[in-house]
Amino acid sequence: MIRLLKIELQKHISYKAFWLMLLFYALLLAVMIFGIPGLIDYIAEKSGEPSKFRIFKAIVFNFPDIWQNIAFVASARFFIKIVLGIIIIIIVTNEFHFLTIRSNIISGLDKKDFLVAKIELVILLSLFSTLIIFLSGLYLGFMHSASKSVFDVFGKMVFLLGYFIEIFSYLLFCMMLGIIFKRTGITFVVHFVYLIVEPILDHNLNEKFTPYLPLNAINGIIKTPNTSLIKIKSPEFNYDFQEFVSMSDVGVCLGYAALFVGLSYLILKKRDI
Amino acid sequence: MEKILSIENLNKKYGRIHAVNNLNLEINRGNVFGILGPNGSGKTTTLGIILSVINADSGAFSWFGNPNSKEDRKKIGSILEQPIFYPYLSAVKNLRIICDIKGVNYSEIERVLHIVDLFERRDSKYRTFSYGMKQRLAIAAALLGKPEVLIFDEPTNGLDPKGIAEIRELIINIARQGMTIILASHLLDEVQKTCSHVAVLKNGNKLFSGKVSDVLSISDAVELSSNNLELLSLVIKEFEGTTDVNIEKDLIVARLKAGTTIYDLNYFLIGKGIVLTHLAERKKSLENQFLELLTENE
Ligand SMILES: Nc1ncnc2c1ncn2[C@@H]1O[C@H](COP(=O)(O)OP(=O)(O)O)[C@@H](O)[C@H]1O
Ligand SMILES: [Mg+2]
Repeated sequence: MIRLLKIELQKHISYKAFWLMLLFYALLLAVMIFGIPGLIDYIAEKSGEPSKFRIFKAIVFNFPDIWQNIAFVASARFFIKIVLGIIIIIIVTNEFHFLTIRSNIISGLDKKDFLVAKIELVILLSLFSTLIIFLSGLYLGFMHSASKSVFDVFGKMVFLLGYFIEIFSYLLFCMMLGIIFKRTGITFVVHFVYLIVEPILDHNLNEKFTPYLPLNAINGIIKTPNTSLIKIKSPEFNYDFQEFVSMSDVGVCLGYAALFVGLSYLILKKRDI
Repeated sequence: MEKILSIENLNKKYGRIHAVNNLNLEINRGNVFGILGPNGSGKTTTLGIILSVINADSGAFSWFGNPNSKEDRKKIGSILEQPIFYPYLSAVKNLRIICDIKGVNYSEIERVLHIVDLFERRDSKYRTFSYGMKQRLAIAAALLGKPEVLIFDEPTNGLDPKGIAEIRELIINIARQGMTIILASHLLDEVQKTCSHVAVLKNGNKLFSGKVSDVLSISDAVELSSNNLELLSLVIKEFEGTTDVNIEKDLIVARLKAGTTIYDLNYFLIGKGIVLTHLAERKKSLENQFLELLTENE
């Protein structure tokens, strides 16, 4: 396991594009997370109703709810996590483009090892992303939260685990696309087209099935938090907020993760490299 | 003799193209085995299958008498079709990855880079290498960890004459150390100069396989001539080292038994007081045979 991860990291540790993209991702995430308080202040000033927004801000960054809020924003499907997805797509398709998967196997990896190494990289990137969320959550919480008791600080940290599982599954999805399509450009196109197609499907399908669409499933663990502006503006707005991590959501998400890995393996195994 | 590789009834089709057609092959330890065939004859496909990057349709192969496993691949150094490396990594970093995969100590890197004369360029990115340097780096990678078998697929393809000469010399030097080598090539010359054994492939079929020296000795003939052709033809029949003597116009063409050299024949004739006006070896080159083999099976 460690050996495969070491091999995998050797491939990227001197790859400038990899570090640049990772840095870009971290910066984007930080700007977003740290930009929110400022943005709220700005809107508050402009709106002429600053008190309402001050309440909103207190709600958003309050322990323990902050964990759901911050994880929800960071895991949004059209948002910054796409940068991580792009990193995985480039890394996977590079192996086909440069034929290096061939030399890996000739040298003594097997196809399973190749896949396991990629999954380990996915885990590492997911951990990295979760760590950023964790640290910025702590910082913002301690800056703005009314309550700072240990109980509240750690109260809903399970959302971080949920976030980790979501991002992990999404990156496996990108890995699978890369393995199927092999070419960087084509994989990008398929990825973005599907990102747009699924919401259209979602719109047209029976509500019973929509949670099981792949992207819905891998975005389904962290539900919309009960701190939206809508809620503030209209208390009578009726929406069933889910403020916990449900095991069935996790199950569906992990089911897809397993499917992505399984398909990737089958395709690699059947294909001539 | 210890079997290194055996291939049984191997088949691979690409649509209607039968790239490898019921191939059987055995390679023993210490062989320098040439796989000779024109472009598209199935050499790379065969090597791809035995290196587990191409799935065969049917048939089997085994390395070192074992069922196929990645552990055996770690004992094989190979170049398949073209050098393959991460372009954005230096030579050393590329070789480190291969060391890690094979479980070989990094200290090997310096040794192999010296062999292929790339040590000075060890920290340059692979992308900046000329094609000849890339090919040499591929050979260096194949040599990592002193593998039991080396596989070279068209190792001189795309090189200039100087590069070709260098790589051939390198292979011959490695072969001298007793390593088992499998060399696929469409160049006769290359196989003739480097290999001990050869299999000739065409359209995925094996036409012939055997020792290179056997192939050559079958058709060795000697041309002789002297002022008195009749006397010469009588005397030469007394010589025990010939199998077959024919008179062709003003030449006598004799075939020599295995183990008999032209020196022996000439020595014998001098002893009999015959002075030759012409003495030449008529070597039917592997090239002619190769071409014949290919056309016979047309
Ligand atoms: N991936 C592929 N798809 C379709 N045909 C292929 C493929 N690879 C090889 N072939 C065909 O198989 C035959 C054998 O090719 P190859 O093994 O590369 O020959 P060689 O190495 O002897 O030049 C050729 O006719 C080639 O066109
Ligand atoms: Mg070839």
